[in-house]
Amino acid sequence: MTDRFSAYIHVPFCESKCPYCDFCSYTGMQDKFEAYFAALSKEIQSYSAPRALDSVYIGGGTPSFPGERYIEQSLNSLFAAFGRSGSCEVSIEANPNSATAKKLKAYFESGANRISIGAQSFVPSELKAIGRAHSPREIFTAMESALKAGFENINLDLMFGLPGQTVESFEFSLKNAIFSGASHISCYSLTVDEQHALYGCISEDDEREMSSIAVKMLEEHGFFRYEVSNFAKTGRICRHNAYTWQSQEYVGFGAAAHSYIGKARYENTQDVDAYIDRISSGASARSLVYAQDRKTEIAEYIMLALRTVEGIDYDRYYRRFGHSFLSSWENEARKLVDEGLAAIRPDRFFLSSLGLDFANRAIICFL
Amino acid sequence: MGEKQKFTRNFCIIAHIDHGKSTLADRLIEMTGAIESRDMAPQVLDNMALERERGITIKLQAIRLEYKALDGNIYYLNLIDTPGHVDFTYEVSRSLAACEGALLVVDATQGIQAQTLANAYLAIDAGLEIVPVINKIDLPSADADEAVRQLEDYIGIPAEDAPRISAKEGINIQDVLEAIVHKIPAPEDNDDKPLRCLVFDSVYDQYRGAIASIRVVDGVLASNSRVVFMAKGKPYDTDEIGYFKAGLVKSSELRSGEVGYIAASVKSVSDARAGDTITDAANPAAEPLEGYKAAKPMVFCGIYPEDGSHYEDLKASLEKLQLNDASITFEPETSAALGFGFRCGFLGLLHMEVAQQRLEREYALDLISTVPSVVYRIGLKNSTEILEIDNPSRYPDPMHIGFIEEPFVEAQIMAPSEYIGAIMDLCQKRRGIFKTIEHFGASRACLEYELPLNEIIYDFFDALKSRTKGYASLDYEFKEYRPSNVVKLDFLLNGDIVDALSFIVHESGAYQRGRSVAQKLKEQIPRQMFEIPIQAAIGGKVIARETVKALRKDVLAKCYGGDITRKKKLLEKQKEGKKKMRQFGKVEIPQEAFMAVLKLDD
Repeated sequence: MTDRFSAYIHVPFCESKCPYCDFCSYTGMQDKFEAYFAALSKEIQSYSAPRALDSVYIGGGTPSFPGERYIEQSLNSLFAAFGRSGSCEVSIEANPNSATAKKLKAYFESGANRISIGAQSFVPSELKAIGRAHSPREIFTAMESALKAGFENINLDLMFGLPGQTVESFEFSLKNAIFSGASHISCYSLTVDEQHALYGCISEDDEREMSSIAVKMLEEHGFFRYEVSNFAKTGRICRHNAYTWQSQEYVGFGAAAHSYIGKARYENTQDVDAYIDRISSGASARSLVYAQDRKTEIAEYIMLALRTVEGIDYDRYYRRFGHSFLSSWENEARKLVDEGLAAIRPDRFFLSSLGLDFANRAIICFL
Repeated sequence: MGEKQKFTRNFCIIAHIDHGKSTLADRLIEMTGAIESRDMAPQVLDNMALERERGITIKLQAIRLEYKALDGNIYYLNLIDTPGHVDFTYEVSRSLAACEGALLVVDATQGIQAQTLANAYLAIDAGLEIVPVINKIDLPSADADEAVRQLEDYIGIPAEDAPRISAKEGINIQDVLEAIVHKIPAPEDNDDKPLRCLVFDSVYDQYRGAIASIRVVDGVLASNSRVVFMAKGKPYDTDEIGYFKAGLVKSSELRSGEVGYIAASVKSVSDARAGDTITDAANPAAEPLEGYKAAKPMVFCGIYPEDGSHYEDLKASLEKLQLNDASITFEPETSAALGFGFRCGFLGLLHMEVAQQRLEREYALDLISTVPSVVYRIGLKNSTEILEIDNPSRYPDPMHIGFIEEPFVEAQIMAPSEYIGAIMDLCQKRRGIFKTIEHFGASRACLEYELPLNEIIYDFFDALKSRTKGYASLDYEFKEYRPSNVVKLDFLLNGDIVDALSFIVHESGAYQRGRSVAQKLKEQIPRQMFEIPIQAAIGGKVIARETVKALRKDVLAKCYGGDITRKKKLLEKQKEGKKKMRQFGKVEIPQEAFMAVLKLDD
């Protein structure tokens, strides 16, 4: 189906838990690192159908929290078992306070070529308000260390809609990110459910203004929006995520890691002990979430593709599904165009910038 | 007197809701072994799931019990079930006409209530022998002596010897059976008169047509005879006759005084209506029995399928429902907001709710119903014609209205005395006209009010219950039409009137209702991509305004590899929600918004 293949490694450990985060992660498990990463290598080695990798992504949790040798070990296992293409993008998530020069250097030397730093904000009070353990100064230090270590491809994560954040203070953070040397910026609106203490902490008007300022400022400085919340300089689109949004296959290793292989989605157990036990005893940590029927496959394909600025490439869609996108979805597509949410071009269908703000509304037409 | 009549007793049980009528029926059935106990579901006479759940009985039925009394004789006791709710008064009177006696069940913890009184008076008026039964004596708060005193003082029936029982615990049930045998008179022996059977109920069976429950008053009904249903004069050959036990039990004849059924391939219950008289085609009776006044629907609402493609299903279901309940009426109506549906008429609010729930459950339909309305009589200027309007959409232009009349009911509300103030306050707010108050001792009182029916059909029961901690009971019956100042209240979304939200309301409450409905709509209508003005208007005049602000974004901040499944579920849920919305012009209206108009806090 595809010649691109991507691997994801989950590091479910953090020094402290951020109150807004819904990724799988645990604190106080330092004594499990050894066993966990041993199991991780074993899981990688026992994968039955390894193929050369175009992309590797180590996410978390906080991959930079455990010692660098664990990351080295994991990458070594992965490359030994799978092999890698010449242009393989190897990306690691890191927190400013744990991404030391030593670690970053070791990552680079193990084959990593992209770092993603969880900066979130450059304003100390905002960082504190969302429970982040680092200071703005540590963001700069981490950036500098990453550049020194040889990384040219660096992402900064930024958030807006934070408690106490103002349009001005967000602009301040944005400028800092833009001029930090990063080549990619992920810029998210804080998202928590209605019961959460952080829900509705700033006005909707401010939140919307921050969103539009982000798009405007980032594009003015050469960071092009390629997905709802992602901006990259030319050639710096995050490969792992781009593959996900193109519905390419990926294999996930580690507790809570997901895989998408052979038109089925899988999930590893979230429980670290269970993960270690199962892998050490030669069992699989993976369970089937569901096999995609054709309808689901098309729905998920469209759901993911419409989040990207490129949208749905007719040619790619046709090659995958054997029918033309517009022939099956013309009514839905036209309706969205009429509402100003989308545009139809000779080669693709994509959401307008208004459409990206109402992506859910657009996507559900195709479910 | 014939042997058959001598050992037959026909009785019903009347009680206020929840006083234990159905439980007592169960016990009687159990003790006489009419149904094997392994086949007993609690409250067997309430054979619809819905009845069991709501603790009320809607469709009446009958059962023959065989009881070997202490005198050594075997008696046939025909228990004819009666509905226990205010909307169904006319059904109660139907059952009464088939009986010689009635058990009047009173809860020893509550004493007599509004419906105890109302039903007891109905039974007395029908000439029945009343046998009081004091129930729930097992409960710690039971005061049987007080219940006896209330029966004697307020209804004037001797109750000193009344069986004191616990139907739930099965205590002293035999006393009840003995009282039935000895206090209730045997039916008259009229075997030699021309056949006359009173139809007191009729249910539809898809294989056998309407099955009529009957009381043979005169003559003998033989199987394989040719009978005439006198109302329409149509003759039928009987397929089967018999009596009720666990099911239908065939028999070769039913003599005068007996209760049973007849199946004669009658295609519709409307041809075998309760109240009709069956006679012998060969030897017809000269006069039919005195029937009942056909119950007239008093409350109307629009009922629409949630999914417009289920219109035909709704139609078929309503037809089936009507086969069993001829008091329901319906005719097609269309709404710009809700599409194709039906204007349905019911005896009262509870009847309406029960019918809606039966449609939803037994026929698996999802429905939207509009604000219930009573029937207004509207006289036009320069015309002698009087319109009967049960649907706001047919409300004439106010310019042409000469006068309007609305139905008033006479309501009896019984409650502990400490709630008198709260009840009076409520009735006052609902435009009630105070008539009398009767004190039953120091602790209980019965208030009589004249109330506009339109004030009762919204949420009067709920308001009454909440103000009296559930202790008040209500009974009402139609009194007359009176001149009234009602107006039609419309709601506009994005500048257009949503027909399904309009209703008719008294002028004095229009502003308040308009404001509160507009606020409710604001809460119920989700924000959309544009601002939506909500207006309440009388005629062309806007009396309240709210605004649903425009939605600013509708997007998930992130969706990575591990999120896909979960995020897709969220979106599917959103899609489901959207599907259930009604498209009205550009505006999407959730189903709940239509319901919001129905339930208003006091």
